[in-house]
Amino acid sequence: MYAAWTVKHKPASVAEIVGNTEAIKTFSEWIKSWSKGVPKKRAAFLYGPPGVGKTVTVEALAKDLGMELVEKNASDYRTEEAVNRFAGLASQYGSLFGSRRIILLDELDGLTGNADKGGVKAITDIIKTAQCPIVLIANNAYDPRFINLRSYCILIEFKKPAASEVAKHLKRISEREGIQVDENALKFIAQRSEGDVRSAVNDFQALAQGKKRLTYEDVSWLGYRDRQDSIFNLLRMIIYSRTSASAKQAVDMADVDIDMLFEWIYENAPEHLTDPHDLAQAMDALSMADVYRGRIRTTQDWSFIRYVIDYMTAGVAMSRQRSKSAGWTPFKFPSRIQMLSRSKAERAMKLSIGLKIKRKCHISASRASKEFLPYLRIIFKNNAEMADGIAKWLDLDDEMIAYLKG
Amino acid sequence: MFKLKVSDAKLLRDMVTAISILVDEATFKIEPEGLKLRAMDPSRVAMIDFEWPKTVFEEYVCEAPSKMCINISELLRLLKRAGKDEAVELSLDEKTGRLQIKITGKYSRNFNMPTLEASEEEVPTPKITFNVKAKATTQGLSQAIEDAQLVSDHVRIEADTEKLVLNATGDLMGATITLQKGSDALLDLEVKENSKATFSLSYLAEIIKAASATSDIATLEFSTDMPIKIDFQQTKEGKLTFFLAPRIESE
Repeated sequence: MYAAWTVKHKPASVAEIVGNTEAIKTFSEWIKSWSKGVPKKRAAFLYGPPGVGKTVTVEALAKDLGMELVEKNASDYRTEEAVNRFAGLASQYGSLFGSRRIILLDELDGLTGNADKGGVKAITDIIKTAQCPIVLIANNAYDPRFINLRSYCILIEFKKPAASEVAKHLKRISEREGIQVDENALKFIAQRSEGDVRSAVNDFQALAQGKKRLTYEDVSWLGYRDRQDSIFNLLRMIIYSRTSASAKQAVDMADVDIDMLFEWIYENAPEHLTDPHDLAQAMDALSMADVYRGRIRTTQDWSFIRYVIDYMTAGVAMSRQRSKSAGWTPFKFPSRIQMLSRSKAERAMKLSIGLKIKRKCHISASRASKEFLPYLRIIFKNNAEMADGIAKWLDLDDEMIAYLKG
Repeated sequence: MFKLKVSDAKLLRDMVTAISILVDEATFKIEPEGLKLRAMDPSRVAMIDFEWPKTVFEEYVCEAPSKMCINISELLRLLKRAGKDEAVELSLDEKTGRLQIKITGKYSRNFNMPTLEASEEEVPTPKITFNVKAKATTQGLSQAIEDAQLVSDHVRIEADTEKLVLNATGDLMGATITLQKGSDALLDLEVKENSKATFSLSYLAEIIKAASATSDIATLEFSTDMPIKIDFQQTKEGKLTFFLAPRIESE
């Protein structure tokens, strides 16, 4: 009578899935659009960290819409022949039972390196002529191997659900299992999982199965799972690599966001490249990487990602010519990210005031917040009467006024 | 307790060959009345419906209904070792969960292989109203399919009251194969409504080739853009039926 709760309490309907509301909405609209004919993009590429509900979303939606789901893992379709045999037929032929179908190719990350014998290319070819929706799932859609494939897909990102949402899912399971759980015990398990719902459910099962009641004391002894550990190893491999190839390979080995990794390298390179000439060269490489990052942002042409990766990994590693070992220097969390998240509320406030000014003065919101705000601040601090008039004219709300008064 | 015995290994081998076309792992239903299998291929485009009543076997013992899942290609490899007049005995060792395969002829050999976790999926019968029913020799059919395979990987099958026409269009070449009603190949044809549908040639060819080892006459039933049902009449009792989904035709 042992069944994994991740299977037993798998969401039966999309409505039961926690988090990722936007992504699920986009995805289900795309699937539904097939009933009106073949849409522009015949495949959807769902990507995001493990355990956030990518596969479950597809399965639940197929169930909700009464569609037949044909699914396979990457390990089953490595070769071109295997892909054609499975997905090729399924994408061109109808169902035996009159329902429409969704083809799901899961765990695309598994098609790595030499093991991928034409698999990705075969998938791309199938998508071009597919007569039914094809769904691809991977942790990282921006793997350089998928460059070509990506252009045929709508990309849908699944993010880690908030701890409160994970807790909601655990709560539902505890109700079904008839286990009384302290609110803060659920919260603790949810937080510890850092958005990985699957691992949260597994942890919860390990802790709660067979119990009638689970208290905070029962769970609190578990420490936080150390996810930062993996990025530290990755940084060490990149910064201290002796060959450009191994620096580049490091990126493939871990499941990290490239933008985030860039910030990590930028933050930590100065501490680890002690020689000024080396550091100058490393910064030069990083600036080149950043130039390409900018081009990706403006053109959405992700093929530039290969230059970003080369410059920020191999470029930095190869700059290390004269630097002596820095000894044991801990890696630091990117301060820019910290700063951005701390100043998030303030930036939002500045922008909303800027928008108000924009409407009255016909200048851009960012220029307004840059050029007008300092003066408004002086006025609001010193001349209440004038400030009142301006507030009315600009239609500022109480929060904005409070902010300007400082 | 499950055990079956056939005096002619070829019969068993041909059947398993037919199953192996669609599935790698097959979950057999073992029932007191006989052996059953209903499974879909991984792409869920084709389905096999297979029944073997216990009367087909020399010996058949089943005390309680159960399920048994085995790797078909592995089983086939073993069965290929058996000659034409050799007897085969299959039995399930309940303690170890392994399938014992005993082949006896000039000498005897015992193989055993693991059974796998049985699939819980119940495959329903497709509900289709067929407008065409054609009876053809498997030999004639497999010839026609081979002709069509020269030019394309899919074929449109059309029927009116007089004839069955196979139309294949490839990138470069085309082919039209006509089977007249009452000819040596097409024994009978009943058409309620002129129909046409397109199917995968690779599956058709493999299915017909494998099934023709066990059967001389096949009954095809289909309707416009609906799945086709191919029933292979068995020389002894038993049932071997395939369903194949139609190709989605884009304008």
